[in-house]
Amino acid sequence: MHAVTRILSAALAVAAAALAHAQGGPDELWNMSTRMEMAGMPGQTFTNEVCMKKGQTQPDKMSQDKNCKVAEMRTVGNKTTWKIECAGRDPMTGEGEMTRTRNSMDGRMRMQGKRGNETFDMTTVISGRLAGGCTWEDPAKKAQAMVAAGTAQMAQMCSESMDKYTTILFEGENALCKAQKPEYCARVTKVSQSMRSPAGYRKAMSQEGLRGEGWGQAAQACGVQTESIMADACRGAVSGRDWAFVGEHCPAETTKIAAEQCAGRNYTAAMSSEYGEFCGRYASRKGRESAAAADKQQDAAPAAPSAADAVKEGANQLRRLFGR
Amino acid sequence: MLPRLALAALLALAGAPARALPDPFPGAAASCPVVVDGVPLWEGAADVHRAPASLAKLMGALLVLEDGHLDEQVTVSASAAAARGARLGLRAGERVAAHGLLAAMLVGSANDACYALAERRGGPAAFVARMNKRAATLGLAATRFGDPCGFDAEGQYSTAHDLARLAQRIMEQPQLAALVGRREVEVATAGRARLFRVKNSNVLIEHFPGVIGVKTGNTRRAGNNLIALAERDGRRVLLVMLGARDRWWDAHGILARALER
Repeated sequence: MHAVTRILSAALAVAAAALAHAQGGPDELWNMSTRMEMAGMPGQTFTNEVCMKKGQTQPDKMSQDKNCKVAEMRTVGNKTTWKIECAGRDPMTGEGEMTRTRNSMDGRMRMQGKRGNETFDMTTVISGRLAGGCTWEDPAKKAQAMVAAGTAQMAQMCSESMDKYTTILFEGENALCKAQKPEYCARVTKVSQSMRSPAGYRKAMSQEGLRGEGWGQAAQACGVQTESIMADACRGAVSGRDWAFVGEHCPAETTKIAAEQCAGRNYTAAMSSEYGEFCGRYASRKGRESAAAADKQQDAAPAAPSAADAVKEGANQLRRLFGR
Repeated sequence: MLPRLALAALLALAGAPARALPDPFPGAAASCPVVVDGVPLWEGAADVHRAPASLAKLMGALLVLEDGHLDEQVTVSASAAAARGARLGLRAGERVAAHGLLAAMLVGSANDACYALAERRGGPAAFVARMNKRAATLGLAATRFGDPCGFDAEGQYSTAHDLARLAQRIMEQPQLAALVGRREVEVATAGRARLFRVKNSNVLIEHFPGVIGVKTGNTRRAGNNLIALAERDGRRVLLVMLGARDRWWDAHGILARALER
């Protein structure tokens, strides 16, 4: 295989050299076809695309075989001839010719040498067609560009994860965006501070990443105390008579207000008041809690209280708590 | 389709009470069965004899509907006008269309309207006899009426099970189902001499989204009674509460739970 590779490399290198020699034009993309013929073996054809920059003497991947030297390269008209000699493992010598036009090249090269104890004689038929333009890139720079692109992508991902409050990417020793954690936490702290009012809370929660467990996880990762923030938001909700907010987010206030405005009060009057939605939610929740408690204690002796019992019990507890 | 589904639910209540779970709200009412989508959810002492109170008007309403001639003007008697409890405030000698009296009886549980209708065909005693006969044909074996409008009477009783089936019969009648789902109806005497705006005594109609009927009742012997039918997200819940302690708050919580379960 080494010999074959070397022959192919040599063939293409010479072809490229021929091309470059014949035409010092802009970067060009060539469709190359190389057919190898050896006595007693079926022929093999290889095709590939090669981008060669202006002034390039051989394709990039051929430049590594330093043991091959091209000699006696001559160009007459549009025909180039050369001789080649490869040392080292699988030494070989050869000669070839290539005729090219602006859009094509056709040629052949014969190589003879030794592989182990056996000699070989191989002819390579080369055919190339200009397929269009291309931009030649330095492999080293290409690798650098790929690294840079990867870094940029990572930076973009971390930036987007900040916007989405994807805490898991910033939290932990092996977090992908660990380096950006200070920035992330600054953002979490800022948005958390904005949640000290019902309006701010609702605005923050309009961001998908903060909903559900999102805010709690972010706050925990960044050492933000949610209790004091919610306490402020609930105080604001009570003073602003935002009962929907209270009912949903403020359990302590809910118990107190339910005792005063729902439990023990005439249902119709309560439901027709500004507390109607609040009381409805509260009664529904108490119904759920009573049923859930009954489900758990289904086999136990004490029966679960009714929804009204639960409401009243909450009120009584609160009255005891506040001494009223 | 929905009435049939609901009927299936009630039949399931009748036929398989043992499948229901124990009542998680035992303090809410003396009887408190709940049926969800044809399946008894909580058994709630559905077969205990209780005073029906104004839930008896459901049977009266069914008879009035079946009698027809709802545009007929009915003259209010002195005894009907003197009815106690919930009432329109009709005066003796006033004339009201039968459909107006029916609406007042079902929506506002108006006793003067109820008695006026009961007197329309043979008087209250005959009306009660017809109510019992109709109950028998409906298979309400644990029901016995003693007053056309549900006032406490000796020998009058029913069960949550039977009343649920009766309520379902009502909800199968489009005219009656539409009435018990209204927040308010307007009833006029002949020539629109007087107009009455009657609020639904079933306040859940106004305050619990999804409740679409049916009726309340209250007497000293019965306590607070309620049958409520709620629909939400394709889920249909029938709640019967007889002898409810805190009828509305408990009904609200129970319905909310049953609709989510």
